[in-house]
Amino acid sequence: MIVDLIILICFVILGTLAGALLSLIPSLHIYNTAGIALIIWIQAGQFIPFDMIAPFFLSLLTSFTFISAIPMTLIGAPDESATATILPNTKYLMTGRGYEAVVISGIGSLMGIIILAGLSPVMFKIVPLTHRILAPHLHWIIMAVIAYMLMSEWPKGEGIGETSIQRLLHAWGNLFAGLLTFILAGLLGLFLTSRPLIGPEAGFQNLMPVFIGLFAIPGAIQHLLSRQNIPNQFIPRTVEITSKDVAVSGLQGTIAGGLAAYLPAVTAGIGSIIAGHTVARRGDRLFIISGGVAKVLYYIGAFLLLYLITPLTPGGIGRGGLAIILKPVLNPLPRELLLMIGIVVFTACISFLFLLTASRWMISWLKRFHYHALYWSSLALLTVLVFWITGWEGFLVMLVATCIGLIPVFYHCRRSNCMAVLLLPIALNMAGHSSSVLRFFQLE
Amino acid sequence: MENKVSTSGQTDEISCPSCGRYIGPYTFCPYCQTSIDSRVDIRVIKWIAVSGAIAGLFLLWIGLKYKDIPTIKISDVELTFNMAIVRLEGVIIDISINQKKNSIRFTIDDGTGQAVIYSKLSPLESVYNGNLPIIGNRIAAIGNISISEIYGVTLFLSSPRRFNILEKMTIKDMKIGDLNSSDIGILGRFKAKVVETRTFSTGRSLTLNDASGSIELVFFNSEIAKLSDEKSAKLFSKDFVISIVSRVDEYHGKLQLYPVRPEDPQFLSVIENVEQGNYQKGPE
Repeated sequence: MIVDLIILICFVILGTLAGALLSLIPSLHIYNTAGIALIIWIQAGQFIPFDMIAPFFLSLLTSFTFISAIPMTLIGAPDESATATILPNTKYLMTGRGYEAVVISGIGSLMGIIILAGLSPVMFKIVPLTHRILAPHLHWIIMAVIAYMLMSEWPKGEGIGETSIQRLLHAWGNLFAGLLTFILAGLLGLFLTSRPLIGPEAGFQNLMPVFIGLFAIPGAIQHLLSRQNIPNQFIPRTVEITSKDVAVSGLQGTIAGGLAAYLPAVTAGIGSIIAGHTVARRGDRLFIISGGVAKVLYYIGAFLLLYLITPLTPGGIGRGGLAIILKPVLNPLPRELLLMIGIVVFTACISFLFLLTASRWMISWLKRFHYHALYWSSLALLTVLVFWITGWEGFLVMLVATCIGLIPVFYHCRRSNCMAVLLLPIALNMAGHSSSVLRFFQLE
Repeated sequence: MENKVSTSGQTDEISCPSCGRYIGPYTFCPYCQTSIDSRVDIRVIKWIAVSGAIAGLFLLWIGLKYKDIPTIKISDVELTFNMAIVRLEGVIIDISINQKKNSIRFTIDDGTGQAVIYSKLSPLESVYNGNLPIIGNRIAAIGNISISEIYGVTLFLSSPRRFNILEKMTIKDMKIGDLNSSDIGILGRFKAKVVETRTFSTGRSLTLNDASGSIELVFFNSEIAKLSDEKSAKLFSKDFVISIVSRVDEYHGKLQLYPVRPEDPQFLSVIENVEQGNYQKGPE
């Protein structure tokens, strides 16, 4: 019993450390490496206990929800051309308060963990019942999310220019860019989910080149094009948050994370747009804290839905990337939910402490080395990863996706429009129209 | 650089390219701190992004349109195949319909292994005008592979038109004595007498005898539960002659028969009045 506990703690710490180190690499998403880690694990199956898979990967994911705030906030100083797309974390960085932003984000994630742990007993009762009611309606709910996402940008520009054409283009430019991104990403998703370009042996990572292309590489290019330097960062002993901030952002983050965890293809970013409008509050601090809460519920909460095995949901409710990655090897049992929550809380506490140390270390590192070096390394790593796993076919898909992903970066519309790559095929499939659309494109 | 006049009336050579303010001879903008040298024209990247996205997507569409979806053997499916879009071929050995969930599951066998093909029921019914494929049909299906610790290999059908009947099975009458290991996986109709019954923990087995030989027919409890009481009583009584559609399989190196849809009278019928002389007598 004690030996089992020690082995479990060892694997949880190992997962936390692996997650923390991988999360420090800018533009690299944990799902890109989790699939590969699983294959390595299976190859080494005889040396590693099989029942440690869930604890290891869950701690990897939990660690990511905390530590990913470091590259998101501290690595990279956007050029002025990207003013419209600067996130509050970056505003903090540019005013020398990057460390504070990272800590606030960590506090948000800790809050998310408390909310998740507190809600877990209620989840067993409410979520299966809600799922029973909502499951037949998911197609139109996702369609409504798409409509909301597009309409919430309508129109953003101010209409500045000397001629009427210039004013029109200025006012509607962002909107058109958003729609174009949505349509192109949606078509890319439809094409790739109907016919594979990548061989079946790389099926487990068939969307990796798409996501690296849509999100990771455009982000890296944006930072590499910037000639701006990171200003000196101050390490404060206190952070500026109030109890009201915590309460409001907790609510906002819970709505955002809850929506993203449950609705297929809806990410924390899209959930945050809806949640932001729901609570009708704005502010950089609110954004950062609620972002931390939403991340936890979106990534970890979605995975834990697998353990909601009840008479209403006999197969659990599989959501999120990790659930898909681990599905072939995982046989979740409802009694394990409490253990999983324990692992999440334990990992979260270690990760928060590591976050404080790692962000200070990153700040001092960035004084000596230019952040461009990290992005060049990251770009090389991602390209090699795509080539290694998915071959030249995956590389081509990545190039096309990169071009689509660059549109929101340079035309200043929401990058969440790129999520149409999943939203559109899933919504059409659920509504039973994907067959007609594929027939139109002669891909059936 | 072209000496254009900006909207504020200042030339580009003395204005910050980022914020547009007058900066004179500075190499760094004193207002927004941007560098004046070595800047990349964002319009070029914008152009590459939009044209690359449209052209790339178009080429991708053309490429995919003419690319075949790979046909794989079920035994070749490995962990890395999870989520892959593939084509499977095989013989339907079981069908399960759930009207409440509007779903249908075909279990197929391709000779190397078994997989489940899962689809929504109503679209498939509309494509086949209600005449759904039956057990014994050889089919091909295209969809997403899902490997699960609980459910094994499942192919989720993305479109009903991606499910095709390759060969309609006419179930042939077969003799027990003619069976050998090369027949494993095939379906046939056997007419034989039940000469012995045995109960085991998860079901019952019957020893069938026809003029050519004898073989064991295995019923699991789940299949027995689907039979009517009358049919069940006759089936598990000795000396009744039955006509049954079964799948040939092997257990511990010995050939066995497994019933196919025994609840369906077309697949299993108990014949009472058959001349005794046509069948070998079983062990008393």
